[in-house]
Amino acid sequence: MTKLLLTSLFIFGCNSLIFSQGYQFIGSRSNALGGASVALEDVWAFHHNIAGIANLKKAAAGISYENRFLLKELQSQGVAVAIPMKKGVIGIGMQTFGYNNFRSFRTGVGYALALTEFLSMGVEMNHHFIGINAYYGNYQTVSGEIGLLAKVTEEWKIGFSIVNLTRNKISEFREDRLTTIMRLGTNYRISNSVTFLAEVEKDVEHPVRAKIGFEYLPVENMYIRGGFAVQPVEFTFGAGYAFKGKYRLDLGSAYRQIIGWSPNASFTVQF
Amino acid sequence: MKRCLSILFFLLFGNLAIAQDKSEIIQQRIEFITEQAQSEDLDLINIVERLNYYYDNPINLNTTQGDDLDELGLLTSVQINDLLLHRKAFGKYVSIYELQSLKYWDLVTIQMMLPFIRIDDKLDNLHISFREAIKQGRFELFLRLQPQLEHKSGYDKVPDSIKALSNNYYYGNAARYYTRFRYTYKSNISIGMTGEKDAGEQFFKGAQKNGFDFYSAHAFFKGGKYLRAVAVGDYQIQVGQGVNLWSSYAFGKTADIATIKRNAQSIRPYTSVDESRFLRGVAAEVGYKNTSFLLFASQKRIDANIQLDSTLEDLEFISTIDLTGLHRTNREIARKNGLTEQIAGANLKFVKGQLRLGTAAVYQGYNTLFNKTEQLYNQFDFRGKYNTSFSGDYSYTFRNVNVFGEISRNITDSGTGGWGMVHGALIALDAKASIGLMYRNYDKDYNTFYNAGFSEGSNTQNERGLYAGFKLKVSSKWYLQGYGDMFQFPWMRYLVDAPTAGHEYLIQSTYKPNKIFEFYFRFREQVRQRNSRFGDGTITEVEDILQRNYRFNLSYTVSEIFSLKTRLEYVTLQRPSSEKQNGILFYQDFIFRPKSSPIDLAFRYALFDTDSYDTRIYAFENNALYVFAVPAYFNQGSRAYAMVRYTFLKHFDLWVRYGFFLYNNVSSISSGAEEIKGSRKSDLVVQLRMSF
Repeated sequence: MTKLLLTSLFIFGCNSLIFSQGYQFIGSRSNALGGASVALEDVWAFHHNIAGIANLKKAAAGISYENRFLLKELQSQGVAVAIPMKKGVIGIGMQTFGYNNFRSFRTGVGYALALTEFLSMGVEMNHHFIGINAYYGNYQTVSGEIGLLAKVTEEWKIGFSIVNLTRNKISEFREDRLTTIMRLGTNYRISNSVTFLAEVEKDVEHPVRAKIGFEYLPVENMYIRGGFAVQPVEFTFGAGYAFKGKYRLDLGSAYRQIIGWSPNASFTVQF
Repeated sequence: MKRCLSILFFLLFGNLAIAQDKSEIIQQRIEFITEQAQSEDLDLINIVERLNYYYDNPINLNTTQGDDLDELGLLTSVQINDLLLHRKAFGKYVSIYELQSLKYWDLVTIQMMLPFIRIDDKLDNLHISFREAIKQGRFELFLRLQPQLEHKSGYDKVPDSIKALSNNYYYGNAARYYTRFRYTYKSNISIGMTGEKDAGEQFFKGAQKNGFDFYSAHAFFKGGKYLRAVAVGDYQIQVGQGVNLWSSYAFGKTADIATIKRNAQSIRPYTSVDESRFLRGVAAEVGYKNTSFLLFASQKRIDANIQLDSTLEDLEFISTIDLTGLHRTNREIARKNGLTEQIAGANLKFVKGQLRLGTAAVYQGYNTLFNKTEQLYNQFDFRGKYNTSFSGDYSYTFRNVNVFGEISRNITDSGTGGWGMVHGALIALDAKASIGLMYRNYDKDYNTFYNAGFSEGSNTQNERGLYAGFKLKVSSKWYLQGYGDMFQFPWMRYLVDAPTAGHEYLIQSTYKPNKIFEFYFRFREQVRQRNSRFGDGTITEVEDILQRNYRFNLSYTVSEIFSLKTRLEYVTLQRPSSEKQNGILFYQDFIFRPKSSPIDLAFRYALFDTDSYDTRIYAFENNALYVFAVPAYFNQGSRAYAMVRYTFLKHFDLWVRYGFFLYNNVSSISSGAEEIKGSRKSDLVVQLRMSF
C-alpha cells in the first residue's frame, strides 16, 4: 500500500515537473493577454523575452502572484527588475512555484541591447532548483535563453525567444529534461487605444499553442485586457491601473473549461 | 454628349457594382449561417426580403429613429447610436461622405450600407390613401416548379393494395410546386398568400383535396401612431434575445461578431413555407410614446402521432411531434394535423433613447396530452398539456458599449420548469477594433417551443457557454476576425450518453486591396463529444471528436459583367473510435451580368472527395430568388450547375437552374424511398415572377 502511494506520489511529482518546469509566464499583464507576451516591452519581459527590456529608459521593478486553478499547492510568485546601463539593460528575475513537498526556484540575470534601431537582442542565464520532499531530494541546473525583438514600424513589433537552448537534464531518471520552448509573436498597435497581440509557442513536449490578446485603454491610465489561447483552450482577461506616473497595479484571471480559474496580480514600479 | 455618356456609364456601372455587393452581402450572410446550421433546409426568406426591401426603399438617414437600421441587421447598436448622436450634434446629414467622420463606421461598413441608405430632406409621410396604396404598392406573383429528374424508388408503380400497407411509397408525383402572391406597400402593408406542395405529396387528389398541401395567408399593417402593427393570418413573433419566443430563423455563431445579438421585430408577416414554425391567428401592437404593448393569439394544427393508452383505451396521447411538413406516405398522411396547438402571449416594451426594456409572458398549450417516450437523455423535456414562460430582456448602449440580454423562466402544467438566460456585450474599442462577448446558461429542464437563443446545440436548452469574438482592421487592406467559444451540456443529449463539454474557435484573415479583389483564409477547430463507436451495448463512453476546417476563398470581379469565385476547403476529423478522415471541396463559380442584356448567368463546377458523410462540406449555391440551396458535398464526385435569369416585358423574371451531382463508384444513391438507381442526382428549378 505504501509502495503504491509512493509510486503514485512519484508519478504525480513527475507530472508536476512537466507541468511547471519553472517556465510559467509571469506577470498579470502577460497572463491577462492570453500569454501572447513575447513581443511586449516592459520589465516583465525578463520572463517572456529578454530582448523586450532593451529599450527601457528607466529602471523598473515588479512583483507578481498567480494561483493556478485556485489550488493552494499551485501558487507562483515572481520578481522582475530592469536596470538601464550606459549601454544596454540588465535584467534580474526570480520565480518560485509549488508547496512544501514540491518547490521550484528559478533565479536569473540577463542582458539586453538594442543592436540597431530595428533589432534588439538579449541573453539570459537562469539557475533552477527543484526540491521534491526528502525522499526524492533536490535537483539543480543552469540554463540559457535568448531573445530577439524587431521593431518593424513604430506600431508593429515582432518578438522571438528560445527558452533553455541547451535542453538541460534535471534528473537521470528517464532522461528527464527541463522543457525547451520557442516563441514567435507580434505586437501591433492598431490605434492609440488598442493593441493587438498574437503568438505561437512550441514547447518541445506539447502541441503548438496559439494565443491572441487585446489591450485596450478606455481612458488614460486604465487598461482592459482580454486573451484567448488554444491547446488547451483558455480565456483570459484582466485590468490594470497606472497611477502617480510610476506605479501600476494589474489584476486578472485565466479560465479553463474543466479546471477553472487562475487569478493573478502584479505590481510594478518605475523609478 | 461625352459627359452625358460618362455619367450614364457611371450610373450603370455604379448600379451594377452595388447590385453585386448586395448579392454578395446576402450570400455571405447566408454562408455564415449555413456553416453552423449544418442543414440543407434553411428558411432565410425573411432575411433576404429584408435586405431586398431596404435595397429598393433605402433608409433615410435624416429621419430614421434607428429601428429600421436595427431591422436591417448590418449595423451594431454602437454604430447606430453613433449615427444618431452625430445627427443630434451636427444637424442633418448633407452628404453620404459625412459618414466617414463617424467614429465607429469604417469604410467597409459604409460600403456595405450604401445600397440600403439615402440622405434626403423630405419627411416620409405615412398618410396612405387608397389610390396611392394601389398605385405605389407592389404586386408580386411567384410560380415555381421543382421536378425531380431521376426516378426514386418511392415513386415505383405498385398496386394500391401494396401502397396502402406500406410507408415506402409516395402517393403524389415527384415535383414540388410553389406559388405565392403578395401585395406590399413600402414596409407598411403586406397582404399575401402562399401555397406549396412538396415532392411526393398529392395535388387535388387523395389526402390533398384542396390542392396544395400547405397554405399560408396573411394581412399585415405597420406604422400607425398608436396602432403600431397588426397581423391577421400567419405571422412571426420575435421577443428579446430569442430565449423565450422567437418563431423565425435567427443567426447562430458566425464569423461576424455582430450576429450574437438579436434585434427583435415584434410582429412580421409570415411568407415562408416551413409548416410549423410560425403563428396563425391575430397579433397587434399598440403603443403610446415610449411604451408599446404586443398581444398575440394563435391556433394551428401540427403533425403528430396520436397513440392510445394501453390501459385506458379512451385516453389518447401524443408521442411524437413531426416538424418536417411532409405528407407523402401513409404514416406521414396519418400524422397530418394530429394536434392542435394554441399560443397566446403579451410583450410590454419600453424604449427611451438607447435603453430598451421588455417583459413577456407566453402560453402554449395542446389539446391532447404530449407524452414523449421517456429516455434517460430526454427526461427533462416538456411533457404535459401546456407550458407558460415569463421573460425580461434589456439592451442598453452607452457610448461604445452595448449590453443586452434576456432571462426567461418556464413552468409546465406538471410543475417542472427551469431558467434560461443570455447576457452579452458588443464593444467598439475603436474604429478599427471591436469585440463581442456572450454568456449563455440554459437549464436542462428549461423548455419553450419556438425559441432561438444563442447556442451551440440545436435547442435553447441544457447548455452553458461563454463566447468571445473580435473583429479587427489591421490595415487598409487586411482584416482579421475570429472567436472562441467554450460550452458545456450539463445533461445527456441525443446519442450522447453523458454530460459533455467542448469548444470551438475560428480565425479568419481577409485581404481586400480594392473593391474588386478579395482573398480570405479561414481556420476553424471544433471539439465536441459524442458516443464512442466502440461499446458493447452496456455503457457507452463519450469521446472527443476533433474537426478542423481550412478554407481558402478568392473572389475577383474581372469586369463589371464578369466575376469569378474560387474556393478550396479541406476538413479533417479525428475520433478515437475510427480512423482519421478528411474531405476536400474545390469549386469555381462564374457569374455573368451583361450590362445591356436582360440575361444573368451563373455557373459552378466543383470536385469533391470526402471519406464519409461525417466529413461533408457545405457550400452555398446561387439559386432563384427566395430559393435556398446549401447542399452537403460528400463522397467522391463532381457537381455542376447553371442558372439563367431572364427579365422580359419589364414585369417578368424567369429563372431556370439545372444542377447535378455525379458520384464515382456508386450504383445507387440514398436509401429507402429516396433511393436513386445510378450515379447521378440532379435538380431543376423553374421560377417565374411577375411584379408590377
